[in-house]
Amino acid sequence: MMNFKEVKHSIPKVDGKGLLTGAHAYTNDLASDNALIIKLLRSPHAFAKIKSIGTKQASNVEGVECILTYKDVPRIPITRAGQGYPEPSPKDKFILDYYVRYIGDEVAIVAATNEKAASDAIKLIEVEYEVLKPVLDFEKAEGNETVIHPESEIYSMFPIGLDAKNNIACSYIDTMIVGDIEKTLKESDFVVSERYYTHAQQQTAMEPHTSSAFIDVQGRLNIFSSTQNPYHTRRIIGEALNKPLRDIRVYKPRIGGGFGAKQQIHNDLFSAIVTLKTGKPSKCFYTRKEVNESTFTRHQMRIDVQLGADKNGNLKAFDMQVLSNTGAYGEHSLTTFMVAGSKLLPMYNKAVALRFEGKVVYTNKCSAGAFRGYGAIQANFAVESAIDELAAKMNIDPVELRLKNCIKEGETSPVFRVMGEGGEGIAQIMDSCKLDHCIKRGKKLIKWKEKFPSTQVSSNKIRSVGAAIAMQGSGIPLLDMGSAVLKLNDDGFFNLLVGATDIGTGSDTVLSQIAAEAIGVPVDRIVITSSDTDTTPYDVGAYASSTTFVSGNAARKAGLNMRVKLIDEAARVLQAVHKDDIVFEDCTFKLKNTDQSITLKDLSEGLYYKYGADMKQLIASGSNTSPKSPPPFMAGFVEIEVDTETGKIDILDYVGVVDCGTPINPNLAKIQVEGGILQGIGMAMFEDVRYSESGQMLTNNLMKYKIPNRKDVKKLTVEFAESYDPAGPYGAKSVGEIGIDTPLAAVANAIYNATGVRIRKLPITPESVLIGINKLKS
Amino acid sequence: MQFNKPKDLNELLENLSISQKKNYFLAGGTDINVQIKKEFIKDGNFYYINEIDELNGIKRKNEKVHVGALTTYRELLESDTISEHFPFLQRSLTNFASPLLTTMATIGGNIANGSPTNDVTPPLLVLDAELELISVAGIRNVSLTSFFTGYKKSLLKKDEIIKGVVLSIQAENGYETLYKKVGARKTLTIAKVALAGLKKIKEGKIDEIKLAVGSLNEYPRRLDKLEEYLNNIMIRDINKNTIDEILSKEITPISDLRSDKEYRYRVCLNLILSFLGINH
Repeated sequence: MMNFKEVKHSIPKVDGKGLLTGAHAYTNDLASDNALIIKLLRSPHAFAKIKSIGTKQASNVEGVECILTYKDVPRIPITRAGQGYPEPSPKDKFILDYYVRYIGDEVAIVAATNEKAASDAIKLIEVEYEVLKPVLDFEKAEGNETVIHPESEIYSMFPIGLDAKNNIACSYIDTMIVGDIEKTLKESDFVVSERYYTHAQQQTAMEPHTSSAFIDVQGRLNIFSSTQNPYHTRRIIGEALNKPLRDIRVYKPRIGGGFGAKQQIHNDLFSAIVTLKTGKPSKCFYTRKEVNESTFTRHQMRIDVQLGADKNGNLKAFDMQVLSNTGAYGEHSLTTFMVAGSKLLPMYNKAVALRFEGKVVYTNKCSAGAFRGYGAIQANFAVESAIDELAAKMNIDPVELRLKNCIKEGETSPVFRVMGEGGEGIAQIMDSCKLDHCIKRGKKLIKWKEKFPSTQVSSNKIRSVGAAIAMQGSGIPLLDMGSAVLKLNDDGFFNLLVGATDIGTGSDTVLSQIAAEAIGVPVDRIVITSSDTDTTPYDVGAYASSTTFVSGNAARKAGLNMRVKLIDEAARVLQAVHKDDIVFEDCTFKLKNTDQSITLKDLSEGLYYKYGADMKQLIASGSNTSPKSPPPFMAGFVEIEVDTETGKIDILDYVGVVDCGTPINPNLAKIQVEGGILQGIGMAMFEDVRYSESGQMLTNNLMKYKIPNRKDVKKLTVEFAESYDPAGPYGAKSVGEIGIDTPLAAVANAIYNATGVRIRKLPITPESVLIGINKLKS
Repeated sequence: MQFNKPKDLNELLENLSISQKKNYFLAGGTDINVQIKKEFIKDGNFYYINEIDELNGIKRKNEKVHVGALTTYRELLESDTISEHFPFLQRSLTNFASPLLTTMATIGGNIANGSPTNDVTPPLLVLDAELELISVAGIRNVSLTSFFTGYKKSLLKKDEIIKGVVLSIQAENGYETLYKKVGARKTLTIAKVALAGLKKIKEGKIDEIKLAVGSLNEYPRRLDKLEEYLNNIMIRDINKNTIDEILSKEITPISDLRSDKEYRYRVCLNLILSFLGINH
């Protein structure tokens, strides 16, 4: 194993203490005290056309500075997705429109000198709606008489199968086909063919979406935003407001969690336009109700899975047909959908016939968007449930079935080449894949042999175990790019400037460790800044499990370049004949076989103040994109206790064994996995976005929308496989999403193992378990 | 809205007797602040009562324990008197709300708020708790079982306030006990079903049984008819169908965001059967 000095060490987060002790660090802390407060008038109808809108009375409220309706804003179709460019999501959103497409959609923007005036004015805006019949059931959206996007301006930047007249945001058919699926299924000894449903989920970041804007002394628009991707935000704001990008700066302070919710841009549009119209600073902070009702949820999906296997347990056929619900607007519609295929099909690479197809439809519900797991988690529930159903039919241990058929190190899958995110993919071989180890190790940790399938522990309590496996990605190959700049200062420390976006994940710490390792200095010599479109270099931002792998390699390259420059300077000062004669250790440059040396501190001071004509600023940069996206893998095992009296499920232990290559900071990596598992358990058993019959979201606060709390999960056991991916920085792959994928199927499988009840529709509630138990009884 | 801070109980009661508007009492504020924020309450006279000593404290007087209306859940959980005489009551409060809420919320406020899902009422009901209501006219005692009259309705008159809860120190002595709260998660949750029970069984016969439910009716209540059937019956003679029949008349579960009526009914039935030691 490699010997690392800085990476693979658990150091505390660089911002941890400050945040814990309440430092002013978030957008709302940093916004100007005299910023205008922005409030939105939102649609009370799931689908309606605005016939008239009157703002006169509202504008008379004292303190109101600005009221904007669709008549006052540019009518340029955009997507708020915050993805790479050209964007794979349909351009189907205006800042404001005369159509409102879900309850909570924006109708008017009000800015006032105080919150009360803005709220009072909102109530005085007079809107006459032509109420239209909404589409609330995503299975009835395609071809519905209601057309949610009748506007002529809607378009996509490249073919994605957009068919707005039929409420189809995108579709993907006849492309991801390998072998003859129908024939192979027919020839299979065992076939599972089932339909699974996954539900919408809220990202539930602690910090609500917040944006603040002001005009600086050069007349440029500055936006402070709780965004996961400042550069995409700048590009989209420029597009929506028809402004050159040189006139816009986007800065991201500390972020209180994103989980994908803040990949899409949202209230930045409103703060930007209010500040441009009034010339005054403004800020817009969402309430939890707005976050839940009017930002983005996870895509709801219906997934039909067909699996075929021979009698020896070899998986031969693997088919998925998916219908996904993107809600009112199509952010991430195509890409989440494709990830449902591209992160599941390759995992069982022994299958000879593969097919993946489907459509993503519009409905009059809250828009769906990016969310940790991003399609893979939905598909994981379906496929990993189906694998257990297949094992049950074959009467074999479901874990052994996985072990036999899963992808192994050195192998590949044709799927990598066929499917990318939004288009074709890139072939890749698994240079690191310890999935088989993860399965075997997890099995041991949960004591599968003793516990599978179940044990009756009392008259109404049954304990059981369940398993699922998962793969995710490490960024998007040749689409994601990150970069880093290192600058040497006197006193011998470095500024590390990165566009990568720490949203609470710890990436500032991880990237500092990587840069320190590359330069060869202790991590306390690194001072990191992230991220600001004016001062830090480009990075796609924090999404798609890209930061450690994509941005980490950029930090590494910058560090290695800086090291070369440092040694050049030291060689000059120490008059070395060859640069190879310089040894850099313990922040000191030594000339081999002599007693000559100079400290980094002295060298840095010389470069600033003493070297005359040789004085200079050392700056090194690195940027990185990769043709590979080495997948992290995980095996998840759960032990549950089912109460047959109430249908309640207790999670006794959740074991996750993860291959993320080298964990750059094992403690932070562990936290990522633990958080992912908990959020996955939340989706499996606690969280559910529910609507009334008229399309009003009912779960619009945290009283009604329950996420699991500390007492709900007794024990989490996370372990990392020894693994090293040569493409990653110091062998690292990414780890942000992989933790979330397995709990849905693992819990569903455990419930089956305990009770014989097979849950194919999420969430798993005590109600559905109890009904299932009673059905089996009668 | 008018905000008042009476200096003592007498001043409070005087104010109440002449108040023209609806009276609201601000103690822990855990319910009322939410209702104001959500604009469910838009007008009224508000009385800040946290500094009124007469409403505070847990005191034993002869065979009774008087729990002042301002007693917080934290105080109940930490009280030696409660742990000595009412361990069952104390146990039932352990997974109640968050540390922040238990530190602020008061027993009087919780009862007066009258929520059908109120966690503390079912155990108090089986303990035969009484309420002391006070006004300028004096004190009157009413049993908790008769206090609620409908959804968020009670016997409390406009000029009255709950002074305290009175418990007999023998209330749980010698009983086997049960408190079960079924919610969406282990803590910080609103009950889908709650059941409290006390029983004495001698030689296979139910000597005495008390059952109370929450979240299944317009207000938490005792299951009088079921108790009547079960008292003095041999366990082996209990007819499951009779329980089902009586229960179906005594509880009126509804379907809402938290659960559905079939589930609530079934779980209530299962919990009662389990408490009686009968397979379901």
